[in-house]
Amino acid sequence: MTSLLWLLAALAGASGWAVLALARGESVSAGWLIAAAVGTYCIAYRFYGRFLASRVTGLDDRRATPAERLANGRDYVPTGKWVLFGHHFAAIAGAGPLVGPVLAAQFGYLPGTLWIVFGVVIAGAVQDYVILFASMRRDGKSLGRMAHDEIGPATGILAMVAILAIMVILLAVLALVVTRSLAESPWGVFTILCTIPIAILMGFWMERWRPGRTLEASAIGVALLIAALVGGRHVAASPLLAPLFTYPAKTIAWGLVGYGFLASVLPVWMLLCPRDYLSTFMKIGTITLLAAGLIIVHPPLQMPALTQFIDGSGPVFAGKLFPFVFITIACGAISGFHALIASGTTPKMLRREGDARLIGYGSMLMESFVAVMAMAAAAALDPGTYFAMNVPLATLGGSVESAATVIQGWGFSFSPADFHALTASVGEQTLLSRTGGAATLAVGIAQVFSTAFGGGLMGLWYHFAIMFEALFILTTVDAGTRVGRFMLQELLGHVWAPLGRTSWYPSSVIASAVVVAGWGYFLVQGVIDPNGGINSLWPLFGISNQLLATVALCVGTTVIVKAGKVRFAWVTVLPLAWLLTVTCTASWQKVLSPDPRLGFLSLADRTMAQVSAGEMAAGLGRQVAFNARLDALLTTMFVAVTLLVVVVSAREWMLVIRGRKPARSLETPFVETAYAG
Amino acid sequence: MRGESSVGSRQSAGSREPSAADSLSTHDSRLTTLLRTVARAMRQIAGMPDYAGYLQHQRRCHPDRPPLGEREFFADYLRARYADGPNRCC
Repeated sequence: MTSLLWLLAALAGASGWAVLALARGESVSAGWLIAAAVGTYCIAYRFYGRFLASRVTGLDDRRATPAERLANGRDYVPTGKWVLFGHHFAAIAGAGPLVGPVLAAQFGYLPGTLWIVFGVVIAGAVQDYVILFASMRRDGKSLGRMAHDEIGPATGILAMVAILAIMVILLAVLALVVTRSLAESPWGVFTILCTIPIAILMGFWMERWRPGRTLEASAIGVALLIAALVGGRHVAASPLLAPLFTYPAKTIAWGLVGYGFLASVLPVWMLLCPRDYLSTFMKIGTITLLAAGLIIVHPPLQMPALTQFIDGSGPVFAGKLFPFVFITIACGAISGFHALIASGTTPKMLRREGDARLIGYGSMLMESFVAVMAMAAAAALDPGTYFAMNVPLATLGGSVESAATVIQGWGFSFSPADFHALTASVGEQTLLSRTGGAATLAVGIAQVFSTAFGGGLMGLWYHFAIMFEALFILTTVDAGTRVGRFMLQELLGHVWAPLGRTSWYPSSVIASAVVVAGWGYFLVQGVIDPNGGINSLWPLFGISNQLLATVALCVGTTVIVKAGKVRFAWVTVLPLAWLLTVTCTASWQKVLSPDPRLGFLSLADRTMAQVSAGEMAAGLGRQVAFNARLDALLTTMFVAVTLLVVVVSAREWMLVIRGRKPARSLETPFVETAYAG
Repeated sequence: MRGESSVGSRQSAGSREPSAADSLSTHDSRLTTLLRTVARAMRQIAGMPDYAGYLQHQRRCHPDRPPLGEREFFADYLRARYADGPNRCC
């Protein structure tokens, strides 16, 4: 019976890929995309996942987990495996797997989908699983700690600096995505502003009025959120109220900076924690709904499988298919950030070792599925609409009519009348050049939902999707700023001890301000960038996230080698080599390409030339050039730090392989479990 | 705040009931039991503090020590959860 199910999964996957491969000219249903992905995940989980679990790492159900040995009723809590699956999935899935595929759709749906599905099987899920396993065998130690212990103290500090720098870029790019989707949108701004008092109300409810009633507070929060969403429509329609909530991107960016600072210095229970709960429930609910909607509607994919932009001339972001599809789609295929989660709360909650395969490998397959759904939703849009929403204004010109000329010039059909109708139907003043992917995805989701459940309520579903994305991006911004603040305080503590005390108020305020200023700087620059900002920041984010994955895979390989299993080290070395190739090529091109659309340095040179020729205002020009050089410097630094980690790790592996160093594992010793069979 | 914590301390042995059964109490009807299990699962998925589970743990493993009050436990839990590295991803 079971083998019949596996056979069915294999067949579904095979026919899905066959249809995708053989379709020529006619449009394919999104159902086949989903079938291909799910079939592949099932087979990968059954065979490769089991191979990793039993042969490579040797999970042992007789061995007591940290949750059992160190149980304290708070963070070390043995948790049922499906509940923990939900917990871990909710922690790793964010905006990354939703936005990346939307941007990568400019190459057509096929390259991105192939990378999402096969990348996760070979690279992303392997990384998450191996790090979860390593941390589980080390009492739930963090990635930085394991790098320190297994590879060396210098690597530990390098890893920490890298994590902090990557966090700054990540927060900036995510905040930019929100900014682009809220600019000039009174409905969106009203709804998102409402989430702040709603979260504070929930905070007081759980902390002051009815302590510990977290679910009660969340139910109230969700109800109020829906009310705010519906209220937003009336605000947007009112000539009196709408102007009060209509802001340009720059104002929204500054608002986010101020908000991020406040959220970081306020007590956690007041804002961050309730917002976190709210966004978790919204996230799980919406993703489930999206899966159901896509299966019910299974819309035809209107985007071609491949577009002409694979040659590097793409208007959404510059660069050829290789390496940039692998950079643009980070989360969903492999995300270094997950290594921080897989070595955070989750390893302390595993009830049995055997559960690690479902939690580590399985949750990442699920995240990959979210990315496939995002790709399907974007590719189901008419390509003209997709490009009108994702190409910078500088390319499209200022109006829908000028955009039509440009887009038709690329060979895609585009009707300004239809675009105006779409804009009106979602209750926005403009959808032109809403770069960053969030708005595109929201239109895609709204089309699916209004066909599947909503009786044509496009506007409501669109703003529901915007709210859902903004809510959990802002949660990441809050939580990330706070974590960045703690990391900075720890690093500064080495310089002057009082700065390291997280309870000392001045130190907290200074560290928060530094972190917020860091991402705020890149955010504001992204907003004033004439090319839209996403153009330069998203690749930078992709590169940094993939480089963090490289560091994680180095730690994973070291753990495998030191456990005396060199013969299996290829499971992490293979993705490591691939990521290094991809990120080094991409970094090289981003820094040194002579094409100013692609290379940071040539962009700086061209901008300065434009300034001296009087084609660009001197102030703006100097700023653009300075930022391009800063981006080049950052990219170079990321690559240098990562290469250093790789070299030091490789040296460690060689020492062990050559027998000059004992293959000594730092796992906590075996204790037999007290759970029954 | 890793490993050793202010709430519980290192345990080498102790009772190891499966966690899903922790919230069972003999007086409950089946429906309330089911509701409690669902509520507990929702809390754990969202990373919310589980005071009932904590009390159970304290009663089982540290019957000699008075447990923290609900509000203190909540504060302690949040401190650990948001100070300890990222718990939400991109």
